Amino acid sequence: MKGIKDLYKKLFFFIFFLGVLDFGIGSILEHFYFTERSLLNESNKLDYSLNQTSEDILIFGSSTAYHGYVPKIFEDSLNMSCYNMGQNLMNIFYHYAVLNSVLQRYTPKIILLDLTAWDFVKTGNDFDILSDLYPFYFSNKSVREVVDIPGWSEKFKILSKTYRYNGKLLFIMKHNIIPSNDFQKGYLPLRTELKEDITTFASDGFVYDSLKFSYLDKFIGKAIAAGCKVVVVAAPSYGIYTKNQFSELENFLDEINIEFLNFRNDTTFTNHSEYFYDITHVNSTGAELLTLKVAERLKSQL
Amino acid sequence: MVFTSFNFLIFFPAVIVIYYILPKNFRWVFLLVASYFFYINISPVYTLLLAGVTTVTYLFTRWIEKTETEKKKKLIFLLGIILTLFPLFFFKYFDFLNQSIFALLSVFGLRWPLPKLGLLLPVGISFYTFMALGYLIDVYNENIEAEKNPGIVALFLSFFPIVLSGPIERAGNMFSQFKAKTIFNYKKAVKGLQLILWGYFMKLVIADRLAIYLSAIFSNSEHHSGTSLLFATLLYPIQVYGDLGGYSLIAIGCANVMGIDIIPNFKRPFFSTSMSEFWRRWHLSLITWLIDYVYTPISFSLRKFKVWGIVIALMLTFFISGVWHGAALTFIIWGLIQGAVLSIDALLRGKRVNIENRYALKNKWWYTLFCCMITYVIFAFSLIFGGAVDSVSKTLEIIGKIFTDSQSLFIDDSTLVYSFTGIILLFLSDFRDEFFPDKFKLFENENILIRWGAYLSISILIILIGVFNGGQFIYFQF
Amino acid sequence: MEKIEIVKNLTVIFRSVLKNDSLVLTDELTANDVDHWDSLSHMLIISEIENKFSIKFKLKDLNKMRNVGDMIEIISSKL
Repeated sequence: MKGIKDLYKKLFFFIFFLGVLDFGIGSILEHFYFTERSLLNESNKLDYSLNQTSEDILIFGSSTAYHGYVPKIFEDSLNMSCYNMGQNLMNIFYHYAVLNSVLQRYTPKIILLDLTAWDFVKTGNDFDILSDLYPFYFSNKSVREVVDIPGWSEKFKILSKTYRYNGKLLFIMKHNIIPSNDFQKGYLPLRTELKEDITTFASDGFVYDSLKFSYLDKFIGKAIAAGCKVVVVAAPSYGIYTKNQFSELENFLDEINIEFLNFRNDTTFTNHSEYFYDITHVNSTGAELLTLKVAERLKSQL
Repeated sequence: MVFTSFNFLIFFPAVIVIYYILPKNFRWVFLLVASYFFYINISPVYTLLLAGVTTVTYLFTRWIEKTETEKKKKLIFLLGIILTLFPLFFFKYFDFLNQSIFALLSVFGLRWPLPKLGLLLPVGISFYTFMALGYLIDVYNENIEAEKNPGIVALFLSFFPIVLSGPIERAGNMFSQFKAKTIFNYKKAVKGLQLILWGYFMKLVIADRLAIYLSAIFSNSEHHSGTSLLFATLLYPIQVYGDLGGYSLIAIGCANVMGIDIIPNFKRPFFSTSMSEFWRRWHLSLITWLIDYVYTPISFSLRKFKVWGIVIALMLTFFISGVWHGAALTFIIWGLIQGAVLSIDALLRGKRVNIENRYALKNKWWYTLFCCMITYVIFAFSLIFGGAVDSVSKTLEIIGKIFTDSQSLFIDDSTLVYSFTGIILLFLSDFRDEFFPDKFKLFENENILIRWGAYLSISILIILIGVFNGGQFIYFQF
Repeated sequence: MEKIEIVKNLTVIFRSVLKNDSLVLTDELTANDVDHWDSLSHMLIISEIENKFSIKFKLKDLNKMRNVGDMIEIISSKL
């Protein structure tokens, strides 16, 4: 009759083999995750943002930034190079990690930070999105700092090399077989128009997140200390808001003397569904208009 | 700490190690302590409630057994039922009843002034209440002797693998196992570990992956096409199967490692050729509980009404099932749909069997496939009521859209590719279990390389495409 | 009534309710072994038995019926 010690022995060997397999497969995934590293290639925007940018103007933000600002317009109007680092679903924790990494390498002249409510309001998955950063955990100190925020269990899980690439298999396969060739410097235009009436939103029942505010503070502090000009922008939104979710942010930025360009209720946009792709994102026409306005403002200050 | 939390991965091995170090007499005591530790970690305040229901159950079962007169016995029994059910009613249904009465009375222009309580539901209360009730009823019916040891009763109702989400067990099955001084069973423990692995696979790779995609569609149903809604509806039963089925396997597996047997909860439900067969394969522990304690007594007392007695019993039983799932009109409607479909099955059974016999349909594979598909679709559509969305009006909107709107399908490639990988593996496994139970074995293969290859592959797959942080949300672009 | 007669009458009932003309009853037969013998049809069978044998079951009796053999025993104890 086999006893429990036999079971423990088998389990020990199982965990050992699993560890070896995990390391092996993780290494293969790591190799293919980092193969596309050319400067202008969009295959690995994360890698580019963290490790390779050298542009004068950097745009930070989530999907609203990704689809909202046209680098070429900034380049033409301000005579400086520009890269749009906007990334779907990302929030201030991500932006902070990226900024830190950038500042270790060089000092951009202008930092444009596009903020949405996700950057200062508590949501259910504030840290889940940071899993995109796992491949950079061991090579990047700032990434480690933000990934470790939720607790110690993340440190444990990330020891698994394969876990760092959890959910990224398809991404790795796609970008090795079909490397993208978009030379829009990080910006992705949305080409269709919204065709519906404007909605009114009650926009209450949210909770401000003091941790996010503290990271926003850290972000701005680090950028200013390095000598960058910081501009915070709230992109236009196709909706009427009975309550101003951004009032807390406005006060905050006012106190630390940071320019805040709030386009959320800007009538140039809000009454024009033809500038929008959906309720929260401008389309290519809207993006061009938005970028021009921001560029004008920046130009007048330089 | 739920099964998918990191803490459980530390808790469970620790429990096992201590369990097998302790002398056999003390094992159940340790399990009781561990189970309460487990429960306190999740819900410290409501642990008192669990203890309270346990106390009531223990006292009333002993009291019933001691009582001689039938009349007195019945009274004590009914009192026990009421007291045991009261917490469940209070926490789960108070607000719903309140709202319903309010709505009903305002039709007549009357005001109902009780305020809403908005209480958080004590974890597992639906499960342990039913287990307690079952035990009480069994004692009253003299199917089991009242347990003299309060600790065993307490362990029965708090046993950590099953307290949160079942399977709903019976006193008759558990008491003797807790008291038995079983020696370590290597085969059973290995089987348990296999079940745990497969359960995690079902939950993390299939259910939680699909949930990302399906919740994006269902929570934004106004903006999705009928095609997407149809696709989501057809996938939803798989998500629920992966979720509850996976969880049940982990629970059963954990108990097996400790040498304890637990009844299965699912038996390859999607190979059912009728809804009545479906309910012999889906959420078995709940259904057998309802059959034994609700359906059988009711259909028995109504048996002179023949098939109509059965219809009434079915409707009532599944009404209760719906209500058990949730305090909302949507769940009640879901339950009633199940009752209605089964009633139709019962009423038309004779005709169906005649046709099947005449054309020897049972032997034709395409007929079996056809029946499976129809059964699946019926269940899938009923689930739109039973949990996909939270209001009846939304449900009706969705159904309407499915039949009228045929615009493009919303696709999120990674979520779909990953979940379908899992779904295909699950299907192959269930298919094999259903039609070739002794062939193509992987976890059970004699060859150690194949066995371990299978364990390692599934484990790596879980690490690679399982969902670990509650939601890698799809960015929703519509 | 002799056991053989009970089985004969029982077979008629089972065959008619379950629409299976070739069904043969054995002592060990359970619902798992027979097509269409489930909780939906079981109560119909019980009701027919009560009519045919002029007996009345109690709910407790039902719980003791694990197979056809038990059924036959309980029926004969009531005759």
